[in-house]
Amino acid sequence: MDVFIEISKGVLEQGFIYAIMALGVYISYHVLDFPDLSVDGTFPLGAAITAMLILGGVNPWLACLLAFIVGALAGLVTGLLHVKLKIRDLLSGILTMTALWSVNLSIAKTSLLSTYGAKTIFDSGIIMLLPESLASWRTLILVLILALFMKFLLDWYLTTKSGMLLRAVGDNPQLVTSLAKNPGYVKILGLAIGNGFAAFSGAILCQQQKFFDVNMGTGMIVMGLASVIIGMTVFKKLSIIKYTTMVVLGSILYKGAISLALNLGFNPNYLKLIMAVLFTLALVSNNFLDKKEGRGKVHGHVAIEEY
Amino acid sequence: MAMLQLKNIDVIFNWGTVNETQVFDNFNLDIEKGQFVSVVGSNGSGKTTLLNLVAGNLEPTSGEILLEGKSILNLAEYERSHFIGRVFQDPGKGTSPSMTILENMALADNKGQTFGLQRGVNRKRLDFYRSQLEQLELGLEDKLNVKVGALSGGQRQALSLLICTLTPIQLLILDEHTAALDPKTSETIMELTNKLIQEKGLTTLMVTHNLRYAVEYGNRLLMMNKGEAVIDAQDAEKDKLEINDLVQVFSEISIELGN
Repeated sequence: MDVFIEISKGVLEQGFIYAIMALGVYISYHVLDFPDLSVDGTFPLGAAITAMLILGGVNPWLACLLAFIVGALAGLVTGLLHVKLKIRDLLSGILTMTALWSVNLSIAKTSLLSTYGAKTIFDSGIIMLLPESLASWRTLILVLILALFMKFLLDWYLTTKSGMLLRAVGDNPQLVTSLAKNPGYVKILGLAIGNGFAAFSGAILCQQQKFFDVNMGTGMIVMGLASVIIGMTVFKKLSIIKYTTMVVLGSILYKGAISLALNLGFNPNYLKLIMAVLFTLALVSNNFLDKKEGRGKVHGHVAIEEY
Repeated sequence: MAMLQLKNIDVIFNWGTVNETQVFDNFNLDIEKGQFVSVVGSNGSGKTTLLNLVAGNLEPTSGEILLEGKSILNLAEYERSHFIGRVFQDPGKGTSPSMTILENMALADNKGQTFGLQRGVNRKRLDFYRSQLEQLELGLEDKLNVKVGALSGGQRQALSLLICTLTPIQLLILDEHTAALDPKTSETIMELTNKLIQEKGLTTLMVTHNLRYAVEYGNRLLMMNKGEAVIDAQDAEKDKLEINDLVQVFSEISIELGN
């Protein structure tokens, strides 16, 4: 029983941390209809920056905020490549992702950097107000709050004028043009926000696992997309819950499925294969459900119901 | 002064290649304030090019385009949207399908202002939106929270019209906006269009393949062929025009072109 609780706790912790990245992918992939691969670079970018900052004694919360901002700047680059230089969406993301590999290495100055001993959001500040009896739950409680905070922040943003324009641009760029706004700028803004989320998520993971690894971004886009699509496929019947909630739940389900597979004795070498199979299953069942329900409109592979 | 002026417009596609085609050669057009101009013509006659020039999707090879006497040539399409509204053939192009009618109305209502972090939907404007939607007589005022994607093509096109004209514009462009609808819906939308244009006194440029609409609606008719207006009839002269006259000119042109 203890083992089960420990495993569940691990799954939830990881699920909530990666959920923030998945929310970023939700913005680019679902809201903007832009397959943004920059996430593979901005996630470790957030971690690299955080590692350097907290090792230098900077407040770990401030480090998270700065990671968000720098991640957003990287997203801005992807957007500029696409909008200003007219490079295709997929390629723009690949370019940024590739460039960020070197950027991340030059920030951290090494491919693996331990932050052991540095103050993190998990062992200093507000979280220490929790009673000692809950000490082992600190991480989970904090990442739960953070994931929910980011989810509600995004929910709120998408109902503002700016957020509504963002939803419109993914749906119908011509409408944005008709509203006398440059759809290109709105896309750039969306990519900046999406990558800000990814870097923020990387910043939290770095503090939780106490190290930066230049490889930690590999496969992030797959994980993010899988979370988005699994969440939306599994919970699409529950129209009362918002898409952002589905994404958070999708991230947890995804981490749960991976953990289950590993605990059932699958060779960890097959991890990426399992990831790909899970992703495929989610995609196929999503398309299958669409057909069964006779839904005509498929937009970026996910039928639109809500933003 | 004319509302819209096209002066000495040349448009040459694929200039300097074997596929070079000249769509306009020194084309001139003045549209007066309050005029409702219908443009007809066969495919390749330059109707769509004309709209694209005005809307800003296409730059002329040479020439000048003035709106209320001011050049708009250097303005991008989205910048011209401040003054020019456009309804497309595809009913999906004028609205956001994953958003509700209310959200679409709120977006349109905010045109020309900043899109910042204020609440997107202003509840105080609900009554105004309802009264605007009532004009469409489609019952959309009771479906404010329905997603536009769930509406029929005709309903969406009616909404597109409303969205496009909600804030003041100087010129309305109708780009075969009833062509994708069934005959009955098409009729309804055309009547609604006319009503909105009359009420708001909009200067309008309408491209249509429907000769009857061109004859019945508006106070000026242009028939385009090879980048020239072969018919340009206004007011009393236009009132005398009948479909048969148009059909006759149309078939003469077509024979000439070998169709």
